[in-house]
Amino acid sequence: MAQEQQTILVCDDDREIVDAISIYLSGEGFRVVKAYDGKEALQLLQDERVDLIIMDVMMPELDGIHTTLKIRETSSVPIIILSAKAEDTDKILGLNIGADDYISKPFNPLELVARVKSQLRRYTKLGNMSGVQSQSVYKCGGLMINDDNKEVFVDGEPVKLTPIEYNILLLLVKNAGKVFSIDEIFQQIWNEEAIGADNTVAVHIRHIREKIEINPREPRYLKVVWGVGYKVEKQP
Amino acid sequence: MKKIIILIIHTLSVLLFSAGLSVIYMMSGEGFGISWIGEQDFAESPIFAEMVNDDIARIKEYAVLRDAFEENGEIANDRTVVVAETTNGRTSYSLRELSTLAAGYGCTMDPETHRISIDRTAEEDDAVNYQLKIEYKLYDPDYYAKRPQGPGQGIMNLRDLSIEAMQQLARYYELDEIFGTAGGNFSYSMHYLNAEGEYRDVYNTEKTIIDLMESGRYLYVTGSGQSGMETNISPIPENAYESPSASLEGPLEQEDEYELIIGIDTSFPYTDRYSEAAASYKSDIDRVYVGLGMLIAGGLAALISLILLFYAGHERGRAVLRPSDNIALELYVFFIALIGIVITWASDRISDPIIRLLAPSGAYGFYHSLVLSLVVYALSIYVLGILIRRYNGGVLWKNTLLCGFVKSVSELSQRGSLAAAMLSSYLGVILVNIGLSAAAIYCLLQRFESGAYMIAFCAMCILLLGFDAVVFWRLFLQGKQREELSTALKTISQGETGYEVSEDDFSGRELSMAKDINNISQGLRKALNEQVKAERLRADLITNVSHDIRTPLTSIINYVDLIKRENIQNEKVRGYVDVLDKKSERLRNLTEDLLEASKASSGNVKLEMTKIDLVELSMQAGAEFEDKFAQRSLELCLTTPENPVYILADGRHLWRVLENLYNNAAKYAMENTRIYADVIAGETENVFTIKNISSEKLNISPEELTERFVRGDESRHTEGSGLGLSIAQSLTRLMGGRLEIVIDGDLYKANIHFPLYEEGMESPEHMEEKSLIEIIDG
Repeated sequence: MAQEQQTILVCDDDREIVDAISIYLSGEGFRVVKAYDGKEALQLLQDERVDLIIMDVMMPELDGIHTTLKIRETSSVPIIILSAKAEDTDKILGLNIGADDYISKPFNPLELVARVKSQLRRYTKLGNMSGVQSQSVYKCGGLMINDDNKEVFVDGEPVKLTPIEYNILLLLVKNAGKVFSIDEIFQQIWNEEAIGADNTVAVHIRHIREKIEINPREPRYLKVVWGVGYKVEKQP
Repeated sequence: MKKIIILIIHTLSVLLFSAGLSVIYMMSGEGFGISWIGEQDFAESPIFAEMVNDDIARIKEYAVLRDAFEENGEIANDRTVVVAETTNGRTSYSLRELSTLAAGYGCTMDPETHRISIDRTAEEDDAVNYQLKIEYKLYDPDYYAKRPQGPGQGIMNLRDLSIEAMQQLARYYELDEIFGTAGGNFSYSMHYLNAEGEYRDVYNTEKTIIDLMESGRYLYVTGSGQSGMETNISPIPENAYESPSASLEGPLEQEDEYELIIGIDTSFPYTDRYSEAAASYKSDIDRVYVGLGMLIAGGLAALISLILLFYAGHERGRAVLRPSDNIALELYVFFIALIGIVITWASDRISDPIIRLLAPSGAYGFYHSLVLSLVVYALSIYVLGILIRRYNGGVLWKNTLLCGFVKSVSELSQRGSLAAAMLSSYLGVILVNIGLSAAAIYCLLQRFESGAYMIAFCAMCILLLGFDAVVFWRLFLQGKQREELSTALKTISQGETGYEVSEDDFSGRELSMAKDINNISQGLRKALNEQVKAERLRADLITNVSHDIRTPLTSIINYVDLIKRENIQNEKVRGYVDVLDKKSERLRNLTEDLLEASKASSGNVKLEMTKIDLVELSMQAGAEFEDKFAQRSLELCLTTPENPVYILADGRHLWRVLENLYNNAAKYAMENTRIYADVIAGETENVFTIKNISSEKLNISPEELTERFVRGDESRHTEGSGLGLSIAQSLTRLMGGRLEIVIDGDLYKANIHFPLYEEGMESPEHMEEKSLIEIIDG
């Protein structure tokens, strides 16, 4: 697929980190634009066409949070925040002010690349697919299930699931937002009473997570509600 | 200056008041007070009635003397006037004989004015000592009836007797001049039975009562008793009731034995004592009015100036104390009283002669009292001034002996040992009770012989009851205060360090205890606050340091990764890079765990407590670790009850706890063994247990395992940070549970205990969502 080279703005006051990220992204075929503080990033955005921004939070001049707020005034370009702050409150704050993803330092380079690709796919491809609506198509954020031909796509990429995994995921996506306990899922899928301590369902769900999530420990779609059950977060 | 002027005005006012008082006193000397000044008509006044009453008495005296000395308008010189017992037997004396005798003793009567003069220098002869026993005096017909009884009584010497007779004769002349002639404003007519049993008449008018009634005031009395009296004089002249010889005769037997007619012409056409009295009466009234005016004006001025005196320069809190105000009040007042006594004594000596010189006789006593009163008044005002000044200066109570006494007693009871104070108060109460009871019983034993005993008994009983009631009330209050104190102590000991008692509710020893408790409470709170602050500071420090470590660590990890991608042929270098890779990964884990451990142990973690099913959680956890266990050929045996087992916890944190426990099992369990996980629904607690056989010797105590972070003990040489258990324990504790590690040989066992879940246990301490703006601006 002949594709125009995509531009990614990396903004961090630590030059070595910017360089490292740049190497990884260049290796994946992206064009990288570097900025070392918020003001510089805003300046670059005026001159360049940027497809995605990776932004540090703690920076001199203008910090990542305020820069993100500024960018969001004019643009809906995907922004991934990359921060040494790993607290829940920091993540919530970052996502609430308009960032699309949040990665804490130190990060796994492969995960970073995967998330970048995921965001770009959603931004470029899925945006056009919004018209394709069918009774048997279920969408949840970047996750899409086409029940007609039993296909599952994450950010446009097809994912292969076993029939049981597919049924469990379909159940959860159909009832997005609702929490299902292991027993409930068992009854719905196998149509029989659960007997004793059996973590078959839980194992299946872990496998689904490993297939559809970039980082199964920090799932975006299939979330574990510890001690209660599992759910798929309701997303637009 | 102002004060001195007011003082002078006050002094003058008091003097004016005293002068008014004197005037009124002088005018009211008749014994009628000042009630008479309301009566403008003299004839209506009690003074007039008193005058009439006096005149009636004099008429009677006149009648008696006339019977004695007069015969047909002449002096009966030869009539026997006195009969006496002498050494020579019974002797009769005529008026002539007595007159001659009197002349011999230097007593002569002026033939014109009928006044007697006694020459004291006349030589006394033996007759002075010539004793007589009087049997009868014609000029004193009552003498025999009322003469003193007993031996040696009724004895007189001849000189005194003769002079007495002359004086009575002179009296007769005097009265005869007033009553013996007709004319004047006062008319009378008296018919009476004299001592000799003869009917006699004495009068200065021949008018009948009917005529006299028209002239103004009149009085008509006949026979005896009030029934026979007719008069318009008020108050009724008492002297009119009895006939001149009433004491001799006893009750009158016949109506006609006594008749008195009196009439006064109240137009006072003649100039005599009545017209003069009427005239002076008017001026007296005026003078009393003046005196009354002075009294009121002086009194008011004195009162106002007194009030001004105490207001001038006597504002509360701004009073200027004098050195004398440091003297104890009692001593000072006693000293002033002493001065007062000296002044009084001195004024007796100095003022009395002056009073005698200036004041009319009969008013000495009044003026004496007046001077004394003024002295006492002046001193009282001075003392009052001192009291007010001290009150304004706030030392009225402080600078008294009593205050000092009370203070030292209370200090003694405050500072002295509690036991001594209790003993002494107990003894005091007992003593007072015994004393009062004894006094009451004594009164009872007197069988209330007089009213005083009755009153005393009642007083004792009331005092006893009152005293005991007061003691009881004190004890009750003390008990209440102690209870409050113990409540406070209990509350503080239970951990509510902010508890304080209100010091206003306490007194005495309890007050100092209350203060101490409050001090402890404040100290505890302060210490606690500082500790919390220090914990926060430490947690913040660790958080900041972790953040700072993360940034370079990111570079290290990334560049090590980049090197690894560089397809290096050199085996040695690849070995080095592997070491770098592993150690940087370990450093990263350590940083994460350190941060988490620090937050968990300092409680700086936000909890979202919800209803958690332990069965579900253990299944979820088991599924998450299936692969890890499989890698080391470990088999997980999960045993759970059929039904859900609910506890109240934060799901994510509890997962973290379980994750750490499962992780440990995955890391340290001996390969090819089983790991047992059980969920047990207990009666008071729900428990999750995980057991495994350690692959290495467990030569370590459970405490060392969990408290490594706090104690800094030596670490085991594995890839973990060794903080997992510490974090697990801290988090469990934060959520209200308990993590227990049991080591039995190679068997390693971790139990998590949580209280049973009850409906509505979800506390409101869920995660506080800070507002977005707040975090951005902060």
